[in-house]
Amino acid sequence: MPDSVSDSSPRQGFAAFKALVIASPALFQELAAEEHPMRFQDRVIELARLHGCAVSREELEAETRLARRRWIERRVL
Amino acid sequence: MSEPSLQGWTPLSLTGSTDGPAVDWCNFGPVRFTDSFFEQTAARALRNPARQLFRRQTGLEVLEHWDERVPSVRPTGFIYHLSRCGSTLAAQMLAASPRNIALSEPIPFDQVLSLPLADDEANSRRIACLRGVVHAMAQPRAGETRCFIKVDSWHTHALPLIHAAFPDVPWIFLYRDPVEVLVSHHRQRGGQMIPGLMNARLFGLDPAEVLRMSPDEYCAHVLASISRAVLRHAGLGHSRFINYRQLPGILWESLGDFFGAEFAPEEIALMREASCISAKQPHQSFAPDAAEKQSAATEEIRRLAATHLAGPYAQMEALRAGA
Repeated sequence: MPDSVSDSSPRQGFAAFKALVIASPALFQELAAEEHPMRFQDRVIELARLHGCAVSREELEAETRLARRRWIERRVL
Repeated sequence: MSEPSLQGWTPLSLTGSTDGPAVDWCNFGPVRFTDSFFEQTAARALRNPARQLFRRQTGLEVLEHWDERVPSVRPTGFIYHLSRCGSTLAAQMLAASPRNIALSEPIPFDQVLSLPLADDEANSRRIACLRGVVHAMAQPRAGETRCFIKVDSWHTHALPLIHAAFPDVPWIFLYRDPVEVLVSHHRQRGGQMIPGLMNARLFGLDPAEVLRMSPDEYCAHVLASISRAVLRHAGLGHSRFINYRQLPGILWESLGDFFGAEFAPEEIALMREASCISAKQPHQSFAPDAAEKQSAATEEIRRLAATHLAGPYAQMEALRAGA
């Protein structure tokens, strides 16, 4: 479960939620437990909302593409 | 606000950014380095959507000033090699024991060595980064107590630098009859053997001269350069030369003692099991191929081996006999 739950309207995006995930091993583990890509996206969106962050599926797909590209270009320094 | 700890995070690679080199990190969780190469284990970790998406980037200074509070296994040994001589098999055998972290040609280690650092303190910065990147990769995931690092074949040129970073860590050099190595590359060339993929000057070659070479001739020159470098630095630290013919038994018969690692009987059983599997094609059994490679060698390959590699090979054999 998240450490804190916001009851206000979403005001932050993916970057803010990513910072939360990176800072919280428990939150990371909870997300890493989901291997299925679509269910993973659903979980991210849900947990982000509970933490006061608005994350869309399109945003997640764009961020995933960016992450994949960073790995593909790993030899380019 | 301080940055979150990097405990549990592994450097995947160094990437370019507008502020200079950056380090790309992935939270590997329980994923162990059990694949033939670092790159394959990293790709396996990244198949998990969270490990793919929630990566983080830091500056190089994180490696340069590594946080010693993050638990890490001290390096146990380095494995240098000529290429195509059983080094991946050795790494796979070591990875078979749950007590070992076996890093096989880790990308960020190579990238630190080739970083374009040019300031007055480049050497000390590179040494600090080497220590940082090894400590970061050597974080225990399942109670491992040893860490072996199989480097890239051309890293014999960087031996003094690596030794300066890890002066107390013993190292071995694996080699093989050069005819067999040349035949292996003739069939399927390693990246370092493809002209233009790496800076030819690293191997003491003029790029213009390389254009006039046949692929096998270039390969022979690269192997000779790797060999000369390791022979030049053979006196650095605690080292041993190991011939491919001594594998796999040498690993549990005497290299455990050499590395200060007392392999338990159950670990040796796992290593024996791993030695029966093809290191680079794990779905296949290992089959000895020295005789087949010898019979497949062309006249040109034999001439190149005799001209460029027979001398270094004889010196390696002499060093091995004198060990």
